[in-house]
Amino acid sequence: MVETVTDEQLIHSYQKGEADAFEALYARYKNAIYHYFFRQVHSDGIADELHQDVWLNIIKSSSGFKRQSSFKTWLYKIAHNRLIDHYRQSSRQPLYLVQPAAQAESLTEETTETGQQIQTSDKPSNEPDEALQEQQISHALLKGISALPEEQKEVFLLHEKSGLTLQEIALISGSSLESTKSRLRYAVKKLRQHMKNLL
Amino acid sequence: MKKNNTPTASPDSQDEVFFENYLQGNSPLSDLYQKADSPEPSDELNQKILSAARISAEKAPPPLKTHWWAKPGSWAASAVIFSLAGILAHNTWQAEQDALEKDLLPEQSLSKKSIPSDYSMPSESKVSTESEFQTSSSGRPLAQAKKRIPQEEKNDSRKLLYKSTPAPVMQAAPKYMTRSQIGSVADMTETEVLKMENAGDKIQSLPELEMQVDEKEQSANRLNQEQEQEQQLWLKKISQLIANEKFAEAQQLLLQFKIKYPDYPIDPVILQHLSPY
Repeated sequence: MVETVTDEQLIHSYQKGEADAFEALYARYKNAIYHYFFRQVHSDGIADELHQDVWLNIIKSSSGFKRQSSFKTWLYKIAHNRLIDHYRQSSRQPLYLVQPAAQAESLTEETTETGQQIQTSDKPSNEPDEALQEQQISHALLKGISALPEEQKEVFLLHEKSGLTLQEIALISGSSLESTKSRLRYAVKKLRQHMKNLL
Repeated sequence: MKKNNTPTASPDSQDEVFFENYLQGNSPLSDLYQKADSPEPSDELNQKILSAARISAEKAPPPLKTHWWAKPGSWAASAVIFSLAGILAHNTWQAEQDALEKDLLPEQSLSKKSIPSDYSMPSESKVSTESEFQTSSSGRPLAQAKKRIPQEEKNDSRKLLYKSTPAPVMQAAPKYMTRSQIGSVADMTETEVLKMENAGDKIQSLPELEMQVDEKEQSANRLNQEQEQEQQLWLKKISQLIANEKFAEAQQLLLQFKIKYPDYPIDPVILQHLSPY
């Protein structure tokens, strides 16, 4: 029943004082928002903080939501602004760059080894478990995403995980549609190159 | 030198095709990413946010009611009310202006000419005293019209004219009024009746006075006639006594007649017969 109700109707109900409407909205977007932050900052603690800030901001300013734009765009715009504030507070340095080098190197080696194992999958005795294979591929992909420039990474995450269109992403990030499409194109190209042995 | 036109796709074109497929959702990259581990917020964090939302919802002010001016029906009702109020205000103003003109115009005409002493009041007027003469033709006392003047001074171009020509004072009011001038008591106000009662000793109606005069005259005439008849009868009696040679009685009767009517002229024949000389 809740699924048939639009986001705008839910936030309007919450404006009237219905807490259940907010719970429905939160259930729809909590994972996507948290994922968006976590993939950007690569830290549970910071992702928790940003996630909480965004939703508290939504609660606080819900009465100011006008139906001029979709709730989804409004929500991700707030998340985008909060992420930029976080970068500014941390000396404009994306946190993924301060990831421990050892961990990054180990991931690289692991991915390389995985790629070699996939390429040398002729030997059944050395064939890894399928689940482990998928996990390793995912790790390789996530590492490739982490290595993307900040703007390209954001566009890719918003498009892939949040299901936003290029127009919506352009609106959220404050860029033109062509710039947004170009960033996504570069992001996909780099990921493809990064995963060329796996894709 | 021949160009190599073999249809081998360049890496850029392959990337472009891959990207187009990716946009259409036909890319293994999306599948891989969707299968990747997706971190989720902890339950503690979820509860913290939801509890904050519930508290905020409880404290939230009641939803804004649609104001009456935002409803189309209210607009129509408001328009009707304002229109009626405007018409009423205009009519009231117009009536006041008309009444004011009626108040002012007679005063202007009266102030320019003197009132003759034999000034006769209109037949249907209720004017009986000087103060009541200043009552306007519309029935309102002139004092009330004067009180209203300051409120309309701003727009009233006749202000100076009005002030420079005070209400005329009746120089010579008729002493007596006919009953038609007074009007019926039922039509008179209480003040007018009281004034009439106070001035009752001074003001009398003409027919009553004429009747009194007539009665007095008639009684006087009647008295004179009776007196004359009595005198003539008395003298006739004296003459008979003289004719009967009863001179002592005739002389005594003449003395009584002279005492009662000293100024009455007596016949000289009688005086000759009764004179001692």
